[in-house]
Amino acid sequence: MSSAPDLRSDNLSPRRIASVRTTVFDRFASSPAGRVVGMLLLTAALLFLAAYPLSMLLYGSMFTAQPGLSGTFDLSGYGRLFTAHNIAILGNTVQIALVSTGVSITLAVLLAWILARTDTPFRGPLEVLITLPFFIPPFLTAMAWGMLGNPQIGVINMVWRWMTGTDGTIINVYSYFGIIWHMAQYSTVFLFLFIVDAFRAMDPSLEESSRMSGASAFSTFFRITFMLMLPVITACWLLSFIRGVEAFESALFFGLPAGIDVVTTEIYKAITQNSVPDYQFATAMSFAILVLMSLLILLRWRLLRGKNYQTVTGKGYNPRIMRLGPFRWVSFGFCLLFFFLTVVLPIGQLVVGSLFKFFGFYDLKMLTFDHYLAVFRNGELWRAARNTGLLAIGGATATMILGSIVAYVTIRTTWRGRRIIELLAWLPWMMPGIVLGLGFLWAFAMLPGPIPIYGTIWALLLAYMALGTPISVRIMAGAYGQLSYDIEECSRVHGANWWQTLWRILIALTWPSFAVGWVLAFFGIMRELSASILLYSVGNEVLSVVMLRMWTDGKLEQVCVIGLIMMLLIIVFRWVQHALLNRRISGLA
Amino acid sequence: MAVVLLENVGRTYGAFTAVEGVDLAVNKGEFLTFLGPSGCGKTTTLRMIAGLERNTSGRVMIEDTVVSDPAANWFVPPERRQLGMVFQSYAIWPHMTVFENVAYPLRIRRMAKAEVTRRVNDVLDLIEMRHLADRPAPDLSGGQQQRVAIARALVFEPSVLLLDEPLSNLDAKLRTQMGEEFRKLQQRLGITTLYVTHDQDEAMALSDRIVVMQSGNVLQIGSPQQIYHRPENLAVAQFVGSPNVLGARVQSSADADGLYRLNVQGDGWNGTALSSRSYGPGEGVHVMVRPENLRLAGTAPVVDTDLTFKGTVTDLVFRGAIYSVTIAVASMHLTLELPSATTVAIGDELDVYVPQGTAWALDAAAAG
Repeated sequence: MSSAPDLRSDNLSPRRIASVRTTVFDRFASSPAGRVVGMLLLTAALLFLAAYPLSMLLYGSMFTAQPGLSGTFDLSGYGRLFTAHNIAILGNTVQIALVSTGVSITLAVLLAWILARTDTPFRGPLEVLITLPFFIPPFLTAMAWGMLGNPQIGVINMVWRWMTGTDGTIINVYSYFGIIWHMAQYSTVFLFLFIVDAFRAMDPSLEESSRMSGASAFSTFFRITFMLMLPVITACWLLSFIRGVEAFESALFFGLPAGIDVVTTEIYKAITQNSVPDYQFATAMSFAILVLMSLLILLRWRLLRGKNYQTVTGKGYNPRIMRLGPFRWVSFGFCLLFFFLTVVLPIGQLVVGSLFKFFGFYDLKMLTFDHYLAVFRNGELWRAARNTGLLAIGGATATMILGSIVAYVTIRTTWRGRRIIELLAWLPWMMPGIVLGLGFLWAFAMLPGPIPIYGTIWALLLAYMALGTPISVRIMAGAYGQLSYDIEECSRVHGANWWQTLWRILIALTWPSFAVGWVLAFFGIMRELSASILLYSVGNEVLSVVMLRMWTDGKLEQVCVIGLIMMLLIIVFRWVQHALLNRRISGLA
Repeated sequence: MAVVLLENVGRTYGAFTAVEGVDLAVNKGEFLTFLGPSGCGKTTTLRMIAGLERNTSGRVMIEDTVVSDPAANWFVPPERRQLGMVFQSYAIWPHMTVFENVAYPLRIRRMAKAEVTRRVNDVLDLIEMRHLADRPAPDLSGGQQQRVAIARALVFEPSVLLLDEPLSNLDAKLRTQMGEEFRKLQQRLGITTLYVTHDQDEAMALSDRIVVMQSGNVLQIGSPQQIYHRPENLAVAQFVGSPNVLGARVQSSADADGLYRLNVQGDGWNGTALSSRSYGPGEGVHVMVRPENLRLAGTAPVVDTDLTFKGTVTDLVFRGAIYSVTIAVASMHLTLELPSATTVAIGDELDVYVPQGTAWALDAAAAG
């Protein structure tokens, strides 16, 4: 990994000094009026995307009727939260999140260590394979595993019965195990991406000096490497736990049929599975979960305060590689097994499922292409695919532009109000998709008549932007943070004006990060289900919603066909991204 | 007895050769410096001695024990070599206090608690950092971190201390001060020290012997005086300082106290120069003259000169203590240093001379 140390500020200091200097942007926007107008516009946009749905959630939780109908205000929604049933749901949610976090953090540390710090063969390709699940929508793998691990006619159980000659069932995915297994697949990869960078970016002399002090490789790992990683791992643990509480798909597909309820599915049920949607209860529950989330986030801040060791000093390190000897094939096998379970098995199921007449009856005489034909003749599907494509491209672009501006203002200027902007842009981060969806549902319904967002495709676009902004801000802030102020100033000194500097220096240096963020936002929208399911309207369906409907209608074979097409798209996209960007990104992103 | 012995040690990365055929014996209590431009293989050599890098050929011995011999498939890991090391980045562990950082090598060796406290306090006293023992390591300044790194390397009394450009992250004044302090400490403790630097002033000031390296090869091993005044080849001469190098032909050579005195003839000048071997008449040599060894001939007649020149001043740079002066002599240019109190101007005609014993002749063939 070659990097560009000269682009990073202050790379010799063991702690990067967070000095705030005036930048060219300051001088450009020194006309106070222009700056104030710009900041007001930005604040207004963020208020609409984050604070408005949040306040509407609070409003809705105290309003007795559906949005738009006449009702009164009371606290009965909150009163109904305190039942034994709801306490049990909270217990379920926390328990599932805890277990899946424990499993995934162990796997993620192990995988990251194997791929970053050992001489396991084919580490490069393995890393690409292992991170692939990150790009596959959870509802797709959930559907695939729903078929694989079906207790009656799932392939895994059928193979087991064939091999043993018994009629036992070794796996039932419609259970706690199923929810946790599905959740852990995703959070493992997600955590891996965080942890592997921390493993790589560590100054190797910190470990070498431990070896020189007489500590063995084993002792060094626990006393130095692991201890230095502890802040990162703690942060990841909490992050994973928060995501576990927010998770929707796993519990929707595997918990609901088994009667296992978690908070997100309970909110979903209150709105979609009652004859009269119970908005007050759903919003009250949403608000309660938001409070829980903010407590967790406060805890995270407390834990991390003063613990940021800055082992990343900005140099291009060659991390120390440990020789595993013959065990390197064990670690290789372990990585391959993970890939097999999380990618090959589900995709294989989709392939098989799409080619047989009925799910569960695998007879060569039943082979057919009928499902492909049916899918291609389905007008509703084409419409949903077009909507998804448009939303993903438009939404990703809009999210990244917003994120770039917010990150620039918060990182590289000293303007007043930038802290508020930072906070607003980060607010949606603690809202689970279904909660944000509900908030927007209220927010759009309460808009005055001439602004027709409710029931249009714009509703989805705005929700996707809100969901994606925290990540886009983070990525762009990281990119700007790596550029020293000298780079901008040097350009100005050499005669470039502000716009030329922005275009030729800042954008030229940060576009790889922009591209990475764009791809993440794109896939984020492709996979989004929980907010979409509350905000779509007839004619504006997206693929995830249509597929869920087909799944519940029992059209499993056609679901397989669409799933395969999406998977193909994802793999092509990932390959293009890898081929085009990786070389340029390695140093900066 | 050699404390560290390298025999034909080399290191290749695929087709790239980082270090080639290094032979070296380090004596007990010696301060030995690896000097060379970046990428010359000096850090790789140090890391091979430390065991952080494996040599691909040759043998490394520490205190008469083979620690690495790829031919015999033998390699002793760094933690079992009992060396102390100071890294360029200091590698102070940010999750520990000053005391914990320094105590680490002792605790790893399972030393009794009271003994650990005593030894750490002793070594913190040595570097005058005891009052900061409980400070979290990231709160230290660069100079303080450097002291802690040295304390950590010294605390278990290693047989050899390795230092990889330890002063390069400090500013110029502090660098000189820390260098002097460290040299005094090293002499007081009498600890064998291997030091890597690209800074020739540092190498001259600190070392007993210097190993000059370039492109993975050792060019010369010798005392700072030998390296500076009696370089073995042009590459060493040109790496250390910026001498005048004049092409000449040998007319005759004679013994002179273990060296040879040559009569040389250049383009429009002639005189004498010392060399380490004799040359036949007509052989080409390079004559090295250091700028500070060119003196202005006063009104009094000069005696015992190697060479004399007459030239016109073409360039003049004021450097505070001295003037850097360039004079044109026939077809060549000479640089010389004059006390800055000298009255001199561009266009002046100067008579300069080289005192006897300071002009040094080298093989012309080694040019390049």
